[in-house]
Amino acid sequence: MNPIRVLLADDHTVLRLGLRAFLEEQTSLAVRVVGEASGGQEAVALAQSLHPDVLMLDLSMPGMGGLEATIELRRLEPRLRILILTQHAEAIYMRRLLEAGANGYLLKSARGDELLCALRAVAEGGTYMEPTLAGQLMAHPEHSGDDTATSAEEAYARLTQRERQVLKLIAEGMSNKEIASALDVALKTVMTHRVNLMDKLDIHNHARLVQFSIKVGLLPMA
Amino acid sequence: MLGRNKDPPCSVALMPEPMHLPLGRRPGLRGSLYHRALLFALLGGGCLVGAVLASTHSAELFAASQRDSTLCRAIAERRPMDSLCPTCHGTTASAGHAFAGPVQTPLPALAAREAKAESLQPEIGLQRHMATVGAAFVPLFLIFVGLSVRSVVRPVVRLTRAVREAEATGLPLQVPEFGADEVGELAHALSRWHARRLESLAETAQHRAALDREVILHEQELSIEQQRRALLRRVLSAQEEERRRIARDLHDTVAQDLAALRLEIERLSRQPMAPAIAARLRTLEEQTQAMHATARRILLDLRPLVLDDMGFLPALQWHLERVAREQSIRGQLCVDGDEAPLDRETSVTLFRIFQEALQNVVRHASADHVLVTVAFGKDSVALTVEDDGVGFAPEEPGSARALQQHLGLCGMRERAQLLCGTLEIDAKPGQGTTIHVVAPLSQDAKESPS
Ligand SMILES: Nc1ncnc2c1ncn2[C@@H]1O[C@H](COP(=O)(O)OP(=O)(O)OP(=O)(O)O)[C@@H](O)[C@H]1O
Ligand SMILES: [Mg+2]
Repeated sequence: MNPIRVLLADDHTVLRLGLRAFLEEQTSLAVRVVGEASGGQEAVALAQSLHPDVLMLDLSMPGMGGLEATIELRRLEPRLRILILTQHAEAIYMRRLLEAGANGYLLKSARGDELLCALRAVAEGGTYMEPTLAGQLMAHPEHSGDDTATSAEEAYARLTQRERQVLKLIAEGMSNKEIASALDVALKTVMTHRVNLMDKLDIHNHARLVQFSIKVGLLPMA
Repeated sequence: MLGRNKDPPCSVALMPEPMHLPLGRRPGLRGSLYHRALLFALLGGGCLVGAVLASTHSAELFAASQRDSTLCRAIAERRPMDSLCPTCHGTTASAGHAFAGPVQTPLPALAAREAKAESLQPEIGLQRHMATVGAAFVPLFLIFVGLSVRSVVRPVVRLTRAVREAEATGLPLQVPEFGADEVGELAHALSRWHARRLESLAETAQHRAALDREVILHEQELSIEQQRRALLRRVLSAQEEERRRIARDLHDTVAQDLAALRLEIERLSRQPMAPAIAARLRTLEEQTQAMHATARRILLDLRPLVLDDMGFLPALQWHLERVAREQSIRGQLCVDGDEAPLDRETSVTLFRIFQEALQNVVRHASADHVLVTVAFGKDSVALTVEDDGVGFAPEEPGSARALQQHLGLCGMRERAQLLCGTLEIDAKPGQGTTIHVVAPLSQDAKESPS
């Protein structure tokens, strides 16, 4: 099997050299480091001239950062695989980078075997997500715009009677405290229903809650 | 007559010059006979209001009269008048009048006028009559008229001079002794008038000075408050800038170094070595890992890089998730309206307010849920942080106690005010707490991620 040809892009020289040494020393995966870049601009240029299989790309670099480089390279080198290697341990960064066309997202705090695992997955055409961040992404999936009418019905079917009551009152414009006194329950109860129903419906926006309520017939047409 | 005036007069417009109207201008008016009249006019509400005080037509004496136009303007503008009165010189020529009247405004005016040949009708008649009586009577008559003219003009001229002097010097009016006739009455009234005017002038000056002092004090206070705000804004923005720089530095240097160090240790531990050393290396690696985590926590506490890299809403979401995860609170972020870009100051300030509010929820509320809403309006953005915790009784903002121990809420309010925004606290014991901030959207806001 041909070794995976890797281009390293990181402005932190010590880390870059350490990474290169690590990749060349290890024996479990055939890897060849074909070049090193210390910034986004250089990474874009080298990726175009060296045609590596995988670009291991840092995010924060002076000048062009990893996000811009990813967007640029997606356009210029559609077949290049991009593995982000970064310190940013926030799910939002991973989401942005994957949206921009990166194939993998790995933290610099990852252990060596994780690193090789990610490299292999990305080189083979898969996607690698940092496990802890992937968990956060799952917990808060980005709502994917307006769902179809049938899925609105389905989602509505999943709500409990109480949640529907609360939804109706929210859609009518009541505050949580008003709902609590209208239903004669504790504020905490209302909040629980509210958070639950919004998560179930995956709607985090008042206007869309109103739309939804109209769609399922909770509210009359305006 | 003048004694009826209740309010002290404040200004006197004086027209003491005898007026010499060219007789030739009007056909039918010839001769050198003077008709004299005193005209006292009082200005009320922009028009001349007064009563005829002295007139050659006795029927008009003390009749109420109202005249605006020329005389009125002249008095208002305080200049001598030299024009024809339309009433007298229009259709029917009539006598000169003296006006005086009740003063309803603090700005009456006095006009003294010696008119000439304006109401000459009687004299012209007389002249014709005299011509028929005979030339011998004419000189006699002229002497008589001349004397009577003098007897009226003299006192008026003296009075005028006295009034002028008083005006120029600001001293009380020294009235010459005129006797008990109308001119004498008038002189006394004038002097009372003038005295009261001087009093009222002094009083006004006192009021003015007091007012001026107050205005100056107020302006000083205002500018101190403005300076305080400006200073606070600069301190805060310098602080934010420094935090941002340190966080970046930590991120780019220490944290990276530690990551590199850890990788190096891991590389080393892959070499064949004695088990004891391998164990030591493992410990070292774990310590480095922990240090890396600490460095990242510190830099994120200093300034979340998400805020600069990704913008306000992602930073809000990120922080809410972070706190919710660590504190086992359920947090939810709702965004309403059309998301508008926030300028850097607004997003940093709102973020800091949000952090402080969330910290209060964690420290004081014992809440299960915290609901965060960002609502974008046409030209404002509203941030609401609502928890279902124990609530509290808010103190007066800025009260001594509130300032002594609790800086959180005050700081939030200050920051909101720096954005020209408002902050409301809706809290009652047992009913949760809601913090509501509204900030204007600046016109040229640009999201500027670095
Ligand atoms: N969300 C909340 N739930 C319940 N009580 C609260 C909440 N927010 C504030 N309080 C009450 O209001 C007081 C004032 O809050 P503030 O943030 O001004 O000061 P602090 O949190 O006590 O101190 P710090 O200056 O460190 O913020 C708190 O001590 C607490 O009693
Ligand atoms: Mg506080």
